[in-house]
Amino acid sequence: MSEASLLVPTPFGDGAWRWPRPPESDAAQLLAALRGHPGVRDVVVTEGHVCVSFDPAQPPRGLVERLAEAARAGAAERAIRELWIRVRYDGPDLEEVAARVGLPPEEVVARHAAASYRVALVGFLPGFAYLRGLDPRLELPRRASPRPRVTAGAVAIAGPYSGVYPLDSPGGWHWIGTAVGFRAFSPAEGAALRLGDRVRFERAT
Amino acid sequence: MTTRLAVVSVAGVVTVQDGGRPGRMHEGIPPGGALVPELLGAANRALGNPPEAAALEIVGGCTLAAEGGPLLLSLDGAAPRRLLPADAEEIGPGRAGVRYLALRGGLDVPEALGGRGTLLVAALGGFEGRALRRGDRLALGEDAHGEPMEEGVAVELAGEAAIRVLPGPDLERFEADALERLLREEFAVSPASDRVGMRLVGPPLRLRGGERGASLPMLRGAIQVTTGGEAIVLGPDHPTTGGYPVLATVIRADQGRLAARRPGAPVRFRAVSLEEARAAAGGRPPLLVRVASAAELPRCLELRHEVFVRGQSVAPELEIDGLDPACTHFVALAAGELLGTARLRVTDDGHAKAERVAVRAAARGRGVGAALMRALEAEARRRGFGELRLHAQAPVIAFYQRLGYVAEGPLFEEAGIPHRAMRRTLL
Repeated sequence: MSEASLLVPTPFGDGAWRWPRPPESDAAQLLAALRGHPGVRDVVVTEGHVCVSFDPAQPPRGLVERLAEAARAGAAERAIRELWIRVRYDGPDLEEVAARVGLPPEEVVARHAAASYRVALVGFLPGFAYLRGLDPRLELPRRASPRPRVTAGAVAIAGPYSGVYPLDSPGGWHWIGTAVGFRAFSPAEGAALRLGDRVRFERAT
Repeated sequence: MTTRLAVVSVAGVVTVQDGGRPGRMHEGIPPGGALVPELLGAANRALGNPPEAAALEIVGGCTLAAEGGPLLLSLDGAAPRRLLPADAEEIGPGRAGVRYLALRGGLDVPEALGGRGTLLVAALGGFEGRALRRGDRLALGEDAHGEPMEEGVAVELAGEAAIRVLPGPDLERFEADALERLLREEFAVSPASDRVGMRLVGPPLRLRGGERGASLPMLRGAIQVTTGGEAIVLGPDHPTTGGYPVLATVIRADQGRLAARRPGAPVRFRAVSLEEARAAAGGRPPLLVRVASAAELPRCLELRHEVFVRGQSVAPELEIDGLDPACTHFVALAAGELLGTARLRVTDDGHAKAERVAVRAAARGRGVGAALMRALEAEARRRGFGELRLHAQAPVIAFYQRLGYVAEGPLFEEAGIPHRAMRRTLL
């Protein structure tokens, strides 16, 4: 049995297919390969799934083969962008986070700024990147009740992720700082962070 | 003085919308587009605009006026009317919960990330990225390629007919009765609905486990169910990922019809096959495949004559081989028109065999043949056969392979045409 025949899509309505992510596949590689496929309208890659949407009257052909090929390619063939984001650690939840994880605020900041992150998922809001790589000591469940308003540029953590809020919005993550000179989303450029990018935070003084 | 559209007053949410900005969901940007693309398209076409030109999407009502000169407008595809500077156009509720006012030439708002529509959550596109307010003045575009249509363009949104869904894709995350409830009970449109999603009021749909999972890709039409059991049908400005599982998905052809319903309106759902959904998306009547009645047999034979005798020069006496009375015949119909036929025969040595698979030339490439084969397989399976056999004409071997048939043995000639034997195991 060929590799391709194992990638059986589940219909997601009449205009999309969804697959579980092939093991070891590189998200950015899958995205690039499928977006370029004829007849594909949109592609969303999450940590667990790949979803491709199209005109239901004209489903694209050859997608399974394209997906199998991209899954084999791995991350090796792709140049990885690295972005540095300066952060002022002045978020209203910093003290509470420190108390809950049992570290001084200074140490929370040091650990957050020391880690190297990778964009694992873009979703929830335009330009909202879920960054994997958070120091496991800083992992906390989301806030019990979301804040009605978090401002654009808020640097926050929740579960295994960190992120930068792209827009003013309600937010359930712990707000620990403010990005300086960085916008995760702009109406002119779209999302600043793309799937697979490497991200480092630098403490702004 | 340039001609402009002036907003005199607004009661509700009025935004500029167009065909959306597909192709950016990987940036977290929803596809956007009109809540009811059928009405946007009708209003634009009535004016000779491209169907997806930027126009006003009106939820609630508003009063508009022309400034600097007359405007030509269409509301929901109605016959184009001229609005003179002295007049005010008052727009109240229509048949649908949302209305579209298009102007000849379209609205001239800047394109942002591939579209002119308003995405409120991101303050993106439209008129300054926001809903319209009293005093706003909108410029007109030059995006009209055709002549206005005097009589307008009628749209049928099929009132309160059931909304068609495909079950899934997250069925395993629900209690067994959840889908049944969705398809059996009546729901109502909640007033807390917007372009992000339409909330439904109705019996709770129970999740298995009930925990919020990892973020999943989301789409317009997905029926998400919250941990509290509330159903939300995602709209054009939905988040591109979400943690709630999807019980069923509204087919593309019915998304506008659903979005057109006003708060309080009843909603029922009906499950359909992927084939039916895709036929509807192509604007075609759904395909129906079933066993032919005795009265339909002459029409089947006529179609076979057209395909095999006239189309492929098969001798008529070979085509009508005397075995028809012993076969089960199938018809593929769309809106009453016969598009295809096939017969299922049990051979002398006791095998189920598909024969005389004929699709009208004009209906090829639409899945008619595949639908016929699936029906034959279902019937053979029902009668206890473990496989279905056939003799495939050489040029269509690949077609049968896609349906899971395996070719065996050498090419041979039958009725002057090269064939190969094929078979598929029926599970």
